Amino acid sequence: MTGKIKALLNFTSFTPLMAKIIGSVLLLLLSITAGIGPAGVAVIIALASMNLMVAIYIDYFVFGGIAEKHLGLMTYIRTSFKGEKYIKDALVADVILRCILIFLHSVVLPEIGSLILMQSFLTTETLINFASLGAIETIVITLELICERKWIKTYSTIVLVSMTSVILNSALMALTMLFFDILPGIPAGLGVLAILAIFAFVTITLLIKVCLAGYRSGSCDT
Amino acid sequence: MEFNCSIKGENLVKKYKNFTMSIDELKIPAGFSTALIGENGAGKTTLLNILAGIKLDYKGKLTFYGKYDDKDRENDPFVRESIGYVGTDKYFMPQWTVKQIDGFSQLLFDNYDRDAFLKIYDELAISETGTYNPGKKISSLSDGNKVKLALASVLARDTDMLIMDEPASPLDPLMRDKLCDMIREYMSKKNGRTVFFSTHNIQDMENVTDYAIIMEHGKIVEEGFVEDLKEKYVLVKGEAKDEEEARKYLYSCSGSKYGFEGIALKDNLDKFDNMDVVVEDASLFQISVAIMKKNSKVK
Repeated sequence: MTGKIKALLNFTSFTPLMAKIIGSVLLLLLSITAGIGPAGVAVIIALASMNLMVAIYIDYFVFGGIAEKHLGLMTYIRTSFKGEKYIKDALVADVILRCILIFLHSVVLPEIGSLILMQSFLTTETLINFASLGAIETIVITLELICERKWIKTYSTIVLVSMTSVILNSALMALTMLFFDILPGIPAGLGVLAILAIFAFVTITLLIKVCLAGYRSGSCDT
Repeated sequence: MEFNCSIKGENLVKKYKNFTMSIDELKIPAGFSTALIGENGAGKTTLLNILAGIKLDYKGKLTFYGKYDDKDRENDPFVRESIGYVGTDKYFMPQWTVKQIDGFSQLLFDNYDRDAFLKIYDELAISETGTYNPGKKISSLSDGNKVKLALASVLARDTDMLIMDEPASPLDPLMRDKLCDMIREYMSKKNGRTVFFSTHNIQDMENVTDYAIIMEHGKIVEEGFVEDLKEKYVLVKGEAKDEEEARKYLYSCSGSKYGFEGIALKDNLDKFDNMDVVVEDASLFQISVAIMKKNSKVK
């Protein structure tokens, strides 16, 4: 195994792998049903919301410690010259994994579900639509994680904020679906997808910066 | 006595809301084992965290091995690679397993030797079963075993300096003795290796202490080679009738109806000329406690 892959696998030191596997497999299996029948879109939105909740709660209890000054000081990592790079690799790997999961449950597996019915829904338009939904989910999760890592300190607040995020996510996804149904033109859809993708990338970059700043601030009491 | 320093500090200041650590001059002699002694809240952990680079918001100047400063510690891998630090609370994350610590250590430190880690793990009997237990979580280890695991991960590296925060406190007497052996072995394996540790277990660690620094209220109140300190301070024992007069010249004094004993400066022995006293060599423990008592807010 190359050093880079090993480094990226660091994320397992912050995220309980079993929780991730159980949550993800369940979501992925359910998402196959999204391609079956007319309720598919609703299933995807519900799944996205569930995924959001899982991500937030796992994050609060493990990764959240990186940005918290007095929690999870991670002294052992701080003693290393490579400590910050180690944290960054772990964060990048976590984000990559989350994006792959979102893509899987919002595009690939619903298509598998529809293939079971021998009625593929995957046209260029639907691909753009579903990819846009995935991008929205990524943005909402990432923004929520930024807020959580920067400001949220108590369990009760995390419950409130995660619920709000789920509602926001569902509303945004439903509105996007509505938007695409009214204006199904590919150029317009591609433009929206491109904007969403850029926004998703910006929020992810911001999230990593916030986390690293949090890690650095752990070395300071003032 | 002139000596080279592994770490030298000048005007080190670290402020908290209700506490300020302020050290005009810090000297950690190279090639020796130095004990940092002081009561709770004296600023020992703060100082160790600053030296190890865990805390960075302090004022003052640090010099490592006579040529690297604080900035070099952050920009040149050599300094951090050369220092092994064993901390206390939240040293490892609770969800980490022994196998993960072994894996992370390989990524985090270029001078980490996996075989050495496994050898020390086995030597210290960290696992209850006596064999390597890679899946064992940190959260399920006792405090003593957490320290042992931290020692294993740090001693598995080829470092030049070991900084340890209260390593002896959670250990049983047998393991404290083993810790002393390990410190001696660490220092004898390579010339010029330095050990700097804080401790409340002065008696247990005295036989591996060459130099002692005593801190109170964020300041260094006494320091020196143990032999020099023993030359400077003596244990005075006398009769109860002289206790009141003797107290004026003693750092600390414990008395009973049979007599008193306390630590005094050897230079002040002439003050006891009119008293019926016996003078003995003081241990580092007795000297440290006397100095702490003199400076303590504890009544």
